[in-house]
Amino acid sequence: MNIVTRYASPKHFSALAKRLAPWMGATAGILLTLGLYWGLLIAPTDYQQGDGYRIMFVHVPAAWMSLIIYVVMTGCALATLIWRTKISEYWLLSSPLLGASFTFLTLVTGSLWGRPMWGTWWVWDARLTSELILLFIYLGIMALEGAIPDRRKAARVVSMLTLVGSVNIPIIKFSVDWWNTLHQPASIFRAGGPAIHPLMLIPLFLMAGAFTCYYFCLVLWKIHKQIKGKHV
Amino acid sequence: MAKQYITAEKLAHGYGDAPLFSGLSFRLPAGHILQLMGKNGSGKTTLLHLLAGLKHPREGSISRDEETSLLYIGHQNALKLDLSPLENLLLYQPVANVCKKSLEALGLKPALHHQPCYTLSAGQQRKVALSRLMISDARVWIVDEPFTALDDSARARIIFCLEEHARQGGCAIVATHDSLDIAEPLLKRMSLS
Amino acid sequence: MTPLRYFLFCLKLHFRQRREVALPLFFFLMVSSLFPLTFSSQHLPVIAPVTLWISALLAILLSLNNLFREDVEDGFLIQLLLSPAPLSILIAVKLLAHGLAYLLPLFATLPVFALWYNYPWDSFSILALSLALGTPTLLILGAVAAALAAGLKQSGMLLMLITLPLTTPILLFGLSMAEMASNGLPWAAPCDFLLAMAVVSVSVGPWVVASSLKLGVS
Repeated sequence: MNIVTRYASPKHFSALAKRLAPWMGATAGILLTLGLYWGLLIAPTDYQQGDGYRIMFVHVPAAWMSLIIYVVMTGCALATLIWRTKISEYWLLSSPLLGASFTFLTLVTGSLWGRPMWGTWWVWDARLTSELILLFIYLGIMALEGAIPDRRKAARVVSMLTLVGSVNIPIIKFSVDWWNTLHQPASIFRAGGPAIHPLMLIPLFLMAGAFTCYYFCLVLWKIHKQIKGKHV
Repeated sequence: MAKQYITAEKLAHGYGDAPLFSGLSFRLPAGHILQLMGKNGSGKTTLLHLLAGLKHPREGSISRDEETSLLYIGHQNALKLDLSPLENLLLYQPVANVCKKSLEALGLKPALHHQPCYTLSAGQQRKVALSRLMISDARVWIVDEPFTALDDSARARIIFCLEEHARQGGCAIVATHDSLDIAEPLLKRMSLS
Repeated sequence: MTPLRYFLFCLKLHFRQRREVALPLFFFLMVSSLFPLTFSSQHLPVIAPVTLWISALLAILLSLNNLFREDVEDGFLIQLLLSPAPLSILIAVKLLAHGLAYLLPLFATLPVFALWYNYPWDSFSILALSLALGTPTLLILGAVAAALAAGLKQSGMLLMLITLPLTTPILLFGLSMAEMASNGLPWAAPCDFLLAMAVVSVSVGPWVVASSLKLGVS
């Protein structure tokens, strides 16, 4: 049997997910330890921001994840609506909570990072605002999913909303940036930014890897649990 | 051989993990009325939705000629209560006299034709919904529990109307527990358990 | 059921239900009068675009709560889905009737706000234009959400939660268009964005709403 069709069946995928999830979890743990160690102890102190900038090693990868998860969900949504594949349904419905969590983490760390720079916990900075709206979109998706008792119908309806959202997100980002340049020209996060020290870049990627593995671990485990619960 | 309007093969459907029915195969040929029976919750309405194409079956297939027009009368009346019976019917049949005639055939007096539907009784509202059977040129009729709240004369009129429809080469599937007084060769029965 | 007959049917129905149709309008009038009531008068021209836009946004979403609710409850939706006419055309027609019934009266009351907010007339016309350009997209976005939430518990609240974050660009472009106009700046750029979004959403919107409706009821 072809490997793709083999793992497209929920039963086989569940078995695969069960085997993969612990490995993903372990990799996430190792990468997280390395990333934190490197980020907190090895990376040099920033000449402008002191040690406060180190929260970036959580903030930036979390922000990446908040978007990557949405992109993955968009792929799942297309697969669900076009090919009606079952695994994409499970994957789609397991993702919004994690996406919302990473978005929330981005907002909290962004606010903590901003405190010494802005002198206040919250500024309607373009990036923070976009993240906040992304959080609302995730919450809307979760609210809609929660209102539909039938799982397969929920998956199809959530797919549609995810697609509408994915068309909208770039426009939202653009409009918020545009609005901000009109009203608050000075932003702490410089677009493009200065060349970042390579010793700072490595922990950034380590942490991004850790978060990705963590996401895969949890999604795979959730899918395994759901499929198992259904077939028992 | 008579034309087959609807062919269902090995249908299976259900909600959640509980199957309603499975392995259901049947045909609906021209010139026949199929009476669908079964206990409450046995999946009669679900089967009608599947046949109308409102839902996709979990398993199996339904083939219906795309060209044949379909009339669906559900257990809800699909009436706008703020509009009059006539205004409701005019959406489907633009000639007012034809609509009036069909309303009167079921015993709705002309005085009622222009009142808002919310002033009518449940049985009268059902009659307005069912009067669409008489103005429809659809070949396939799907009717869900037509006789709820209906008086005897209107019921007899509907049964007569179904019989005429079958004689003229149409077909219908009717979900009901009442006995349908239709000549045997035109009537088929099916029961969901 | 032909699209034209359905359009007239919808208009007639809105007319018979005019008491319900008037409710979002009253809501709009009351919310936007709360601000002149509570702000000191020198701030009023400054806050006028924001308050007007947000109360219009909420009123329109509130009106969309009714869009499919009744059709789901009385079984009329099944007749729409099974109609030989393409569903997206019927939806387009339904939205047009909805817009005429709910939005025209709303726009008719706008001049009152120029008086209430002591807003200069020439920039007020631009503010009204920004609303006019933003509402088609708003209507489509809300209709998609209404279709997805059709028949669910708390569908009205869900409609708001789903739609509000997606309406950010319309709100921001609409507001900056009004603000730029009142500051004497050229306002063509946000106007073009609003127009582009309106054209795109009106051309693909009915089809997206129709597909969402099919998903929502199946």
